[in-house]
Amino acid sequence: MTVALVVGTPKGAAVITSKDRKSWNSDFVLRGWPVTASVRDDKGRVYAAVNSPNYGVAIFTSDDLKTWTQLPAAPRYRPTDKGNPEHHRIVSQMDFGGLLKGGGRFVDQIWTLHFAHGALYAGVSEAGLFVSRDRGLSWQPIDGFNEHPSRDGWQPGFGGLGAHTILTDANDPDRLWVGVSAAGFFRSDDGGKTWTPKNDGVNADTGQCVHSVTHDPKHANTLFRQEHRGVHRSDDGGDTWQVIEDGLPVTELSDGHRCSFGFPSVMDRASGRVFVVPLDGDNFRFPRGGQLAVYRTGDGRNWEAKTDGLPANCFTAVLRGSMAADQLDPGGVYFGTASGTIYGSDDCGESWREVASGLPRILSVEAYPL
Amino acid sequence: MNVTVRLPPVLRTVMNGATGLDGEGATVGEVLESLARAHPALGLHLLDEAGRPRRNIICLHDGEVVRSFEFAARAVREGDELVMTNILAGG
Repeated sequence: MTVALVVGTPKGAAVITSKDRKSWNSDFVLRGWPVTASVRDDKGRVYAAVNSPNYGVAIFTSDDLKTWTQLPAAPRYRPTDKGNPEHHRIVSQMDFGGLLKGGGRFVDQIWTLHFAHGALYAGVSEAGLFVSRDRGLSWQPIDGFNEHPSRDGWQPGFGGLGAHTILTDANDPDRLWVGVSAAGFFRSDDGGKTWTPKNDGVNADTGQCVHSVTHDPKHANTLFRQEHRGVHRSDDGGDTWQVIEDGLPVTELSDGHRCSFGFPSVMDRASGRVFVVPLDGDNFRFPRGGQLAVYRTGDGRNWEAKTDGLPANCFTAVLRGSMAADQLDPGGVYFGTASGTIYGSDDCGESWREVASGLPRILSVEAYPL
Repeated sequence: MNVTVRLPPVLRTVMNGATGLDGEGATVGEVLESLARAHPALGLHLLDEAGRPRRNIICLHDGEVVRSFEFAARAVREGDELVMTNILAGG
């Protein structure tokens, strides 16, 4: 089966396809647009989010991954929405339009796109959620989240205050989760009207800095969470969390605490295997000892390093949106580095090979069976 | 006033490859607002949430650089051409 990878970079998107998951052909589309996320809907249409420091945020769509058309609408806050001063300070270098002058809230990036139950969701920074029920032709803010009572206390990470993870329950359209750096993880059980923080058991010494969360939407309440301060698991929809670090490289923080640091996490749903890419964090943020390694758990408790085909003497990183699984059998897993190389595995992580290189810094990777 | 606006390459992808568009108005600002009304997808990139021209857009007009804060006061004449570009930095 043909697989297409849509790889977001600051200079456009690589569309990389393969019929056998071994040899790959690459095209580079949306040239000139920073591409930060993509998703595919139930009709096979792919949506790619772009943001430009000059021209703002928008979404392009494609039915064939070759021809792209921009949607006439994009997530936007109301001019009267109150902004977060600390987020403004962090993103001021990219102050499109001089918006910070008014102190208002504005969308400076779409961090994630998500499709479920016929709706298209966008998680953005300054942190917020938007939904489109007409496939991107119009967008509505999810005010239950965007105006959450705790919002005034939300603190951005140094990358800003961003809603980067959206998860949904295939069996319950009213249940949603969202992860925000660094406000934590939230769940709604009423279709987004109200939201409750779900961080019990997560180490929060460095703030509630969730980096990514993954699960199988059909078994939605078992969640795996890569936090700034380690990897956690929940079996009750996020009500409680347990640290699962057996086998992971656990590093010393400068404050004397320890954690297994990393950004992305993905699941191969057929096998239930979960993948993370630990970095020597918090200080260095490259693979421990320079050995690029993907760590895999099969039982959801213990991790093993997978390095076959991955380079040593490698001092790059893998960002939060830059790993994906194709959900084929056997599962294909792919990730991109901050130095522009894509690696892939067609045997569920046992071995890896280079898929593409020479790309700009990789911001996002999604895998779509065609 | 009818004015031709030349688009930078990155915005041509929004307009099916069109290199230029015709707008109307008495100032650079009004011309860009007319384009935003006529082409909502393009309008996302010209105006911010508050309806102001995005700050990093530059127009070349009559051989001069016109910055976004000057758009509202910069008068145009019938048949003028605006060449739109933007601030860039580094690689």
